[in-house]
Amino acid sequence: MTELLKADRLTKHFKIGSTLSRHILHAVDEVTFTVGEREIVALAGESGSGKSTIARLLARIYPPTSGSVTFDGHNIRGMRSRRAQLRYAAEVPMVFQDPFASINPVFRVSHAVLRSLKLHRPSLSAAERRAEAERVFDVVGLTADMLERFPHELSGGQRQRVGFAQALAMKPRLIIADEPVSMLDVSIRIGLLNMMASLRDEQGVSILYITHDIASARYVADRLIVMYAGQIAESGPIEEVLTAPRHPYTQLLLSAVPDPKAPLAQVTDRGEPPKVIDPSPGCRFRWRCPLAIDTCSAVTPPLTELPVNLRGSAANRESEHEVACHVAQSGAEVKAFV
Amino acid sequence: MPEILAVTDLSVDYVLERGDVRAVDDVSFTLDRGEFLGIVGESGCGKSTLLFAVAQLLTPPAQITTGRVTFQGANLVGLTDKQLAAIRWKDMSVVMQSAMNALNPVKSIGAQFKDVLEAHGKPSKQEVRERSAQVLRMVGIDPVHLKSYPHQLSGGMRQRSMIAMAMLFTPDLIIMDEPTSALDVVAQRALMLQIKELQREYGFAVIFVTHDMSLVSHFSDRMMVMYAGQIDELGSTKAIFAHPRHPYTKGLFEAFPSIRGPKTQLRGIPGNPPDLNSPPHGCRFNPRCPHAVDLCFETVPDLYQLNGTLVRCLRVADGSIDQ
Repeated sequence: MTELLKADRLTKHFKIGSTLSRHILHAVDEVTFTVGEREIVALAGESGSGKSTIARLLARIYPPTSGSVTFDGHNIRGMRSRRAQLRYAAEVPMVFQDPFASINPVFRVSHAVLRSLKLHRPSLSAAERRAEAERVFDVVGLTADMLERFPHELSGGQRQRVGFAQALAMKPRLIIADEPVSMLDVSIRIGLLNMMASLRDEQGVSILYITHDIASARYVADRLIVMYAGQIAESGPIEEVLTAPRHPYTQLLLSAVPDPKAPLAQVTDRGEPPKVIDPSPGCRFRWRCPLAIDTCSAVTPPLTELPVNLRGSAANRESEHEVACHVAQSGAEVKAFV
Repeated sequence: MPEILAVTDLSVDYVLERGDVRAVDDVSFTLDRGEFLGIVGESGCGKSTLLFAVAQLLTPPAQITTGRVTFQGANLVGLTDKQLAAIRWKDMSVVMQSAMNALNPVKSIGAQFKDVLEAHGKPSKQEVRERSAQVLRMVGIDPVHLKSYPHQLSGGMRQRSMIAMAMLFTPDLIIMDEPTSALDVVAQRALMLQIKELQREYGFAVIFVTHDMSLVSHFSDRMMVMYAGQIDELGSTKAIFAHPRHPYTKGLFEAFPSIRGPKTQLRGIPGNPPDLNSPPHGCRFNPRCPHAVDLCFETVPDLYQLNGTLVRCLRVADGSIDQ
């Protein structure tokens, strides 16, 4: 698979407290991952795990503290000219969580789409812009007459489709979708997930799908990245990670997903992800982990590829399965929350 | 099991200038002592309005137009706030969706517990301290947090302390409005297991409102599916999960991807819930229903009894679908 975007040791720290009691919040720490062409990558984790901070780093809303993001071979920090920045914004647009807050309520929804066309594709004439707006509305499953509606006249699902249409109008290559379906009703969600899959399959767009809902991630995504406390705990082909999770946290997360078809796992974990303020070395999950050994409190486990003999039987050898866990990497069987 | 709550023909209207909107339409159900009833539905289906109507917490423009809410033998509809105060917290308590908004941000948890305890009787300082510490321990929070303010607690702890507060008088009924919706799955499961454990120990009944079907599957004895202000299906949770009958319930089941088993293409339910200003003629689900026939557009369906489950569908009732 051709690599489209690469985050390399991406780090974002926030200063908190007053000048006298200065602390550093490690929102994202040394995160490395890639997104390929025509690929949906799910970035999953609990609230506070740093997944939205990653979205904002990729969208250049914040500058990183250290580390880099490379898109199509170019470091995005090197984009100094307005033209390069505009181009990146068009190729990597973002779709937000709340479709009620992300569209300007005083304009018709055509305004949102036509305006980004005017900004990002100035060569188009007014008639071409109009035709293009109708085309992208069609792609996301809206009818052309909906262009003239106001946001309040559309349902939540339709509004979120407008968000995707706006992104599509810019001819994107990677859409960063931050919890795009979590505010929608369950009967509407699947329609939107199906649309995301068709954007990948028919338009060739990659999507970084940020979510806390593992089941919806499995439904559309090709690969899964599990975040815990600002770091990647585990990543790999989604079916492999779900059937053979090797990080204790992934196992905890999967055991907690309610599933009418499976009996309820009686796990009594009451822990919560830590706020990572001025951390010392060591695994950040060790306080909740039943398998923690001495090394876990001394050395931060690096995210490394799992040796082939330790991978699940469903392993797709073309794609790496990476785990940041000393116990899993030692070859011992990890059965923490199963 | 003796019946603790009976809701009979309950309707709630929002009285607006452009006309009344019926948010809850002719809902009847009963609840036994110690029973766990899950109410599921999409936003706007009337589930929260129903819950507020049961707890007598509706504020204008919403008002109960018909029906009775019989709790422990007495009709609550029409009671004054003073009369209701006698049962609130003591016999019936409510846990709201967002603990962050339901707790007072400028008062410590302990001070808020004290307010509740002083609403019924005049406990001594020591009694307040002991009971408050006891309920916090019941939900697995260290009593040192009685001195904490809401913002110092995590989301899960806030939600658990709300439940502790609801337990202060060990009421017979606790009404919960999506108490886990702000929590992560891991915290959600911990909270649900906690509620079940407390329920087993103290025997209170629970009405639990949620939009998450799979959440009720493990925890509720009976479940109610609401659509456009009405009950679509009501019966034992096991029976409905084993054999959903109403096309809407079926549609909801098929709208949930699973993390286990074979991966299948899902369709969800086409269309959107109806505008309650002008609900569709006949069955309210007919614009979205794959099984709708002429009859469904002409006749308003009743709730039909089928093997102990109530279903609002003409075609299920006459046996033409769902054999």
